[in-house]
Amino acid sequence: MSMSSSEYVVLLLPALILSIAALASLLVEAFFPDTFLGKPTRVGAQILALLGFGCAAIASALEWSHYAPGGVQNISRGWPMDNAGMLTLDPYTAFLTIVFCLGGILTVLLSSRMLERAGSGGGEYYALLLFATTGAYLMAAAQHLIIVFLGLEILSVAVYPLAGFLRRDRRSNEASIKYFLLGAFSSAILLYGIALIYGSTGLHFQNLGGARHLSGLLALDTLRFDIITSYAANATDSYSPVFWAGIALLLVGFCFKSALAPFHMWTPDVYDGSPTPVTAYMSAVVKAAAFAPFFRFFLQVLGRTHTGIGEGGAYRHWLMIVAAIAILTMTWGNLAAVAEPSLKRMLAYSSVAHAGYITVALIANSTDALLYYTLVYTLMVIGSFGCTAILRRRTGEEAVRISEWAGVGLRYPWLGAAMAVFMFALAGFPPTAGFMGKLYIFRAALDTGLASGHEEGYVALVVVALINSLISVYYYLRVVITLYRPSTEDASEYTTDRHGLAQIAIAICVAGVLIFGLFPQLIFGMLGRG
Amino acid sequence: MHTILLSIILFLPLLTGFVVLALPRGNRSLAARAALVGSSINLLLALFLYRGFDFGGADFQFVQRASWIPAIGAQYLVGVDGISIGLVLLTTFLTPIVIYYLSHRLPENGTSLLFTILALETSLLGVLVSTDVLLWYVFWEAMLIPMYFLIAVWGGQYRAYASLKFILYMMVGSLLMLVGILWFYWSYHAAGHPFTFDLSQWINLNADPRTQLPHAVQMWMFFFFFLSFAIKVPLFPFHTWLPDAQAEGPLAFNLLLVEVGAYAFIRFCLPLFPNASLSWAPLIMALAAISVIYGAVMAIVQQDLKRLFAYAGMSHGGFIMLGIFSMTKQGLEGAILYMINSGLTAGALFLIADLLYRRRGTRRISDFGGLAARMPHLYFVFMVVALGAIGLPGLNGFPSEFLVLLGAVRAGFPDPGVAQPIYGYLAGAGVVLSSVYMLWMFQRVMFGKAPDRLKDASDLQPDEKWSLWPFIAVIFFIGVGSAVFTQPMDPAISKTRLIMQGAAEVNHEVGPAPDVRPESPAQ
Repeated sequence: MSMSSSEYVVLLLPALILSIAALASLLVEAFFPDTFLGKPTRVGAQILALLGFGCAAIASALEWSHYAPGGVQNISRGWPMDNAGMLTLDPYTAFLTIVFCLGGILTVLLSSRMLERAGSGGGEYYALLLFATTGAYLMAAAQHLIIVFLGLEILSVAVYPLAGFLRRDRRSNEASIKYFLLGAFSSAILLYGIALIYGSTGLHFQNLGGARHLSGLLALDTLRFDIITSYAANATDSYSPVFWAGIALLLVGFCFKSALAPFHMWTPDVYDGSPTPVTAYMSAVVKAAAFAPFFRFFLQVLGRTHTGIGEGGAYRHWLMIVAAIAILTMTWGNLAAVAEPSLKRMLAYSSVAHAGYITVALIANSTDALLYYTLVYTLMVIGSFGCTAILRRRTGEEAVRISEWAGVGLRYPWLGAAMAVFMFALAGFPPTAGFMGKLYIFRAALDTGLASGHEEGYVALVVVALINSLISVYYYLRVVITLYRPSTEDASEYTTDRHGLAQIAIAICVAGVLIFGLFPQLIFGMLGRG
Repeated sequence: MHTILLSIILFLPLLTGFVVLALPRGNRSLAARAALVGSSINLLLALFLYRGFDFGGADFQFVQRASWIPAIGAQYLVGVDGISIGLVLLTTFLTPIVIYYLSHRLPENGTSLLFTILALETSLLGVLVSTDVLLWYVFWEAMLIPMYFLIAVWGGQYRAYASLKFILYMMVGSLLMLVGILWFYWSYHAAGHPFTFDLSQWINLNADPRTQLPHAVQMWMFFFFFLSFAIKVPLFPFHTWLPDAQAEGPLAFNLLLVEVGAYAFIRFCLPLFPNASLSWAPLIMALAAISVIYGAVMAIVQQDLKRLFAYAGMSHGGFIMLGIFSMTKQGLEGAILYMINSGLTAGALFLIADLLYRRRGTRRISDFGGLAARMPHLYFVFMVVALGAIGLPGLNGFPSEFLVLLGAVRAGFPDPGVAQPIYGYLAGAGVVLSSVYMLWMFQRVMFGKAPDRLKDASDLQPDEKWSLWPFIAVIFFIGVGSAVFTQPMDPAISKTRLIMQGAAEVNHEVGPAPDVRPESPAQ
């Protein structure tokens, strides 16, 4: 499908808006060091960032209504694509972009107090957040492995300095360097995988009579998802080991980024050391952004609808591997979280476990379940990290040990209630959205399993996931119990660091978790199943 | 009005709860009055519902249906039938009493307590009236949250342990049940129906021999449901959370621990999995008989009043399960009546334990004695409740216990090789044991020599009297007029038994089994 140049602009609109806002918030600090439009520059940069995220979200929503009246279809079907096959704008992209922007807005709202403490004007901070979200958008829209890699690098390079934003804090530095080293390592693995795939698909089309098949295609086009799909679908008898090695490396790279076991080891240290709003952003947006191309690539290229790969062959092996990763991730994350005395590290492990639940949606072949869960998880996790950032010692540092939260629910009823809501939501209790998200994933898995005739495996997977939910009830509710237990330490050592904007962010999260839990049709309807 | 009445009853408590939270902070008596008014209006509405209830109808009445999550086929669907209406009345009856009693003794964070109680009432009512299985599951799970908070915030010394134990036990069952629900949901769809969670439609699947699921599948599904409900009842050996939760939980928790587990057995297990229910029945009746006796024996040796009452509740749960799985008309009627009675008796007993605790600062039975002379009012009330609990004719316990035992000894599953009445006879021994624990406890608390510290114990205060009189009135009322409650049950029970009858024929292909022949009414 050919597109006019104005349509190219439309396609890139969210990325353009985000980058322009990023540049603007950088420049505004340089040119208006004190005041901007009559407000302190700090506030001005913040407003610019919020505007950027808001406009990008609105642009995605408008594009959604324009390009995709049919709602989200099965991911393995085609989408409207740009001419070169690099990007696509479909409901999947649009929904995820809205979630990313929502995550960005909530992070901005949570960050003010942290920036004041760090003595930063905020310009570079907001610019990094906006750039990171630009990368996330590219990852969600990518139809080409190079775009996946570009998006990933834009995202990662922006998040490395964010993790180390508290320059004078040793733990923040540690988090940043750890994240950087492992991130660079995983990017290299991913890139190597892409190179291997490039080699095998390119060779394949060349052998098939080069000119005829490659006519109109550039050599790099062999990294397009649809080209790889047709390669995988046709190469039934002659699987290239190089191709599969490439797929495996790609899988490892994605697992690193989305913190799936056994490649999740960096998570607790990085989440713990980073400034809490950045941790919230990482566990919500960065994780969702890593899942976006992960889902799209694997469902499209290796999806079960491709008879060429076949139910009995490579597809099943691949499914087994992903199922093993899902089970390992859930179990590891949950078991590690049980014994964790630090709230931030506990939430870090719990986010590993949640990545495992999301992987079940991949096995279930359900993008709807992924999208709904991503939205819900963004609200739950940003809310819980937001609450974490509120309680402080009088000396200034955050109270991150769970035991320090004793009696908080009695002293600060609203903070306690919000934290309790998030804990119940993360544990998957109705009537919160955490329950509906899990229900939707498990339902999709059972549907797929029973429809495929291999229901035992899927039922077993769901049972494992449910047992994991049970384990998670223990450690989430331990926090709730602590909230309402009389304090053993001196309560006067602690204070709350309230900030109007942070309270707004938490209120949005609480409202979202409850409303989307009671009326999930609001989202399900949008996803086109209504 | 007719269609929306049930929804009003369902959500009025929660709404009242929000009003209570919105009232100016610090004015606890105002909050208590608002909560009391709201819950009392709800009781009146429930009585109004009962008046409009058609005793001859076997189907759900006051049905309200609305779209909820069309994407997965879940609806907002509520209704009452003869099985649930009595428990709806019980729940709406207990809540205002709890609130009234507590309104004079509100702790510091009393408004939160009132909100939690009211939220619990809504979720309990939701469990009783939802007829869409997903909606029901949401209420079933949501019910755990206020219960958990009641123990964790307002509980006794070991509340952290007890609340976590309580919720983990409950979650084990619930999560497995979710698998069962989704499995059934898909199977129903696979049989050629659109995706739905509507219970009235689900029932048709296994009721019809042509469409019913294979026996082995039914057995597994039954197990997934069974575990959750058996923990809730609690049935031996899943009971160990109960004494801890009841002993550590505050009064509101003790009173509002309505027998929803046993209710769910009648509502879901029997009609959804009739064949599997018949196959599981011998085992469950055996467990029920063990529960009756084990609970009673444990109650005898308890030192703590609340723990004693908790084990008594376990024993009662055994009776209820025995009645349900006898699958006779009398057994089922008796079981449902027993659920109501158990709620009443437990409510009054725990109230008494609480007011004794407030006077003496202890619940150890050996710390009491000689109260009969000093507290004549309490003496009378306590005696009526205790005698009602052990089934003295003329009081509430008798008709339900009698019906259950009658049903249990008549139960012969369509398997002539097994002598079924044995469980009924065993449970009969439990009746004797219940007299032992109740009367011995009563004797130690009420008679004998009063310890010094109890010399100046005051008799019931007016508000305590007003909290207990309603129990006494209903205990006498059920004792002489149990038909008021059993009559509306009959059509719904007959409907369930018809399904069981069909299943029995399929299971054995020998025609109606002896236990499911039409019987003449017991009364």
